[in-house]
Amino acid sequence: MTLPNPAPRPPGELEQLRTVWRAPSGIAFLTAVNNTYIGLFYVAAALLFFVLAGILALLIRLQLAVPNNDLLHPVLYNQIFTMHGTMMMFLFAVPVVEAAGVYLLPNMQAARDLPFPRLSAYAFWAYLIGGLAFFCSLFLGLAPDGGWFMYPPLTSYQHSPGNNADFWLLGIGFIEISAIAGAIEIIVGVLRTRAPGMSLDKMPVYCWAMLVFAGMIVFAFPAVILATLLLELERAFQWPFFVAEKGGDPLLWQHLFWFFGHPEVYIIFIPAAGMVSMIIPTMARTPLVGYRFVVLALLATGLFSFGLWVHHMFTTGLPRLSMSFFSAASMAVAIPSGIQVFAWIATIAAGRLQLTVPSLFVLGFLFIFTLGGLTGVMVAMMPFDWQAHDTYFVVAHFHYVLIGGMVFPLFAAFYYWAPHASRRPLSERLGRWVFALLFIGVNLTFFPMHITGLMGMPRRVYTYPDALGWGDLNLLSTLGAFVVATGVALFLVDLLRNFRLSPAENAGNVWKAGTLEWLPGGLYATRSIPIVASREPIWNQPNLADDVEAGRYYLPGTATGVRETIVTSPIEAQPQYLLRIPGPHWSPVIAALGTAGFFLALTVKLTIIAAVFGAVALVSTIWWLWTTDTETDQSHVDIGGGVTLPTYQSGPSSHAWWAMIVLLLVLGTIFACLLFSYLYLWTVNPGAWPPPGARPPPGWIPIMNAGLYAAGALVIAIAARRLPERGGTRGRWPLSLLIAAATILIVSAATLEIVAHRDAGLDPRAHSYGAVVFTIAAVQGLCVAVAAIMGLYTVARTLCGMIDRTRRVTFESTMLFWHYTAAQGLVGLAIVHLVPRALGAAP
Amino acid sequence: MSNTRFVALLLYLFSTLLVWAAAFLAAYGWTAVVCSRRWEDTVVLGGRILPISIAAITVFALALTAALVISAVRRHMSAHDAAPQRLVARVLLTLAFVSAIAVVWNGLPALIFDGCA
Repeated sequence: MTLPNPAPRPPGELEQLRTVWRAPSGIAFLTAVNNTYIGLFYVAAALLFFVLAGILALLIRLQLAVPNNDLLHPVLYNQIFTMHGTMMMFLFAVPVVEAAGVYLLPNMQAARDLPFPRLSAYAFWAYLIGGLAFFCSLFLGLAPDGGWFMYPPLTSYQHSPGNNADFWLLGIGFIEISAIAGAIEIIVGVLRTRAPGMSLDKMPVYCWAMLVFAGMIVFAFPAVILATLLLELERAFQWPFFVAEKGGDPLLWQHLFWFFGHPEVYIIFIPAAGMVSMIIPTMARTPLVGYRFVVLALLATGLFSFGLWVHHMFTTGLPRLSMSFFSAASMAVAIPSGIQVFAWIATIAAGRLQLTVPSLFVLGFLFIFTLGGLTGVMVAMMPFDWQAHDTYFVVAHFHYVLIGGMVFPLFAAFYYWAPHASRRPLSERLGRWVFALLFIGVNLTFFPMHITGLMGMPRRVYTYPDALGWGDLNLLSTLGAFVVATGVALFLVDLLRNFRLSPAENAGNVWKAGTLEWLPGGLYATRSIPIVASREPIWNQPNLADDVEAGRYYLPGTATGVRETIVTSPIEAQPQYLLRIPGPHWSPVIAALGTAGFFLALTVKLTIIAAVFGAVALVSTIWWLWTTDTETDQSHVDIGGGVTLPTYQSGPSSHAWWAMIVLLLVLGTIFACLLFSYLYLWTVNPGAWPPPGARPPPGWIPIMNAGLYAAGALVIAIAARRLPERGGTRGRWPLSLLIAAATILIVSAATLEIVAHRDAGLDPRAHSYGAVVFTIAAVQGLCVAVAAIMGLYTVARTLCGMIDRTRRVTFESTMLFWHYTAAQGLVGLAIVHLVPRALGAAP
Repeated sequence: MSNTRFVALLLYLFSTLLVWAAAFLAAYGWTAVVCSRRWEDTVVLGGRILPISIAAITVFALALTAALVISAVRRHMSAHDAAPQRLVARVLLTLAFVSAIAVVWNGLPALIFDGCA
């Protein structure tokens, strides 16, 4: 292979690269956005929540250790088990795998950073601030107490009148935002910032896994976002989505929650499986057997996991045929998971596995996860599930799946990648003890639960009588929990003793691995960006590390004097343009503070304070964005090897365009879930949709509103052809006026729709029909409001001369959102106005 | 390959799984509608409505999957194609096989249960 920059590099080039990527010092260190720091902070915060939720688990086990125990009051016990589940799922499991991705992906792809580092920083800070405040609700007696799934009617305003349920519903809002922000970052990062030559067929399995993981977040989290919105609307304003006597249905919550909740298990498992697929080949000193089948299994698992949600609802009285579809799908999903397990076993058999600590955790994972998978197939069968539902058998099953499928791979990953972030690796001796304690402890804790479950012990009870004979098994489980806690404590000791944070001067490639993250480098990732020719470049490309470190590959310094990385094409990974990456800034930190404060203040009904926090979040977001989408004097730069790249890109090639498309997929999924809710409520109200007395507005209203949305989109499309010339002032005002006109058109449409329903006498509190119709109008109104803010922002940038025919990314983002909003408005109008007329309920 | 073509290719890669998802949702949604409207005893083409309609959905989904497989073989299995394209084609073909089994597997319950009990 011909090296792009074979000649010696000029003096000072490396120092300049280091300076550009150096994190700020002092208090300004909080503004650092480097993926290395944010990723590690993120992992540390997730570990903190893991320990806190683990302490709650110990309290649960102490309470259940002996019969008739009164260590904890039942009210506190309810809060503790709810917080344990919620924190483990929302504050540990998803964030920690996302955090690992933020840290590892750029290194594994030899990108200097992810494309939106400020978004990663925002996601981290929102998560940390909001998560800590959420946990502290426990000390105020305000923690949620309705189980991590929050089923109504238990959590409705009649049966949970305090603020506890609101803490769950609004408190995790910021976590959902944080997860989606991270998912956008990961999708664009994996698809657009891989090293040149790292085509899809050479992409590490971990990158595939993170791509599937992020895609699943995009389609799964919207369901829980909508569910929490609907339940909060019911609790705050008595809109009866889940109240049966007013045309609602509590099962709607279960459908929406488990449409998120079941894929959530795979959202957690798939990245962990990706980690295992990286660790086993290194430890066995041989490439992964069946790469293509593993990729296929990841894709199939990701999609099939969306067809399983009803298996959580087998005892709800749904038609047998309906449940059978899900029972069949639940068994089918075991096949792709099994393919991966066989690929790992085949890789171990093909090589010579070194029994290091990461290997031990991987072997432990294979054992525990396989057991969890087997009991999963058992509960996928309806007759068995009817017996085991809501017993400790299910508790045992999902802990085997989650701990085996995620916690063990994660510990393997900690020991495997610690030398990448630390000056020295973690201790092999202590690590073996940690593994032994965790492996014995987990089996001791959860295996007896299979038996207590089959003996009939229900979940979530705070105590039980002696006569039932569950005492000895529960005591064993409690002892096991403390063995696990000892293992975790020993791991923390190992971290304290050996982990010395130093991403710039790490311990090096101690495992002799073959993937790019083990190349020497610093905060800028690698000195130069290599050309990848195989899946294990370090094994297959002789002298790669030395050539990369000597700057003989692409972009050996900083071409424009700021942070930058190469954007490549999504399939073949050919260099397309040089992305100049935003650096440290206070705005993401302040925006995160505003977001977390907004949700938490809203929870305790401090609406004015919530509005202030919301304004802070909005203003700081605008501040953050204002400093981006800039140009440099150099329109093209040479990165070596005769390759010259543009420094600015708009349209479908731009990373911003991709991010906006992913965001619109999220919004589209939320709206699709809302339309599903409308149609679902229709099916549970046969013959009464709309209910007597409720009528849709006259037929000319939707026709006029559709015209307004279409006109708004058309005006924006015209505006796209009227962007000012670069450097000229002519055309700024006409463009601004066009955007203002388009804003007036869509705002009018959204307002008229709400007013028309109100004038038609529709009451959202009287029946689920009114509630869901007003919610569709309100969600559309929210999108219109965001479009209007984006429009005003675009006008401001236009008038300041920051948008023109060349520098058009901001305008394109606004235009994409605008067209989406108009299309969503048209679909909403069609459903709300045509369905009642099709059913013959309105003229 | 341009970025816009990549989006199309991504959809193409997932197309057989999307066919399964669509068939799955159609079968589940249609069953919910039939049961909520109490139409389960309606006779269509000599059979009860649910088994007949779910069989129709299954056959249609299999036909679509077959069409996608033929298209993939024609478009992407050429020896001249680059490795990433061949990977896409092979993954699509394997996913098609998995999807076809899943479509049939998901349709089978309709042969056992035909009511709304």
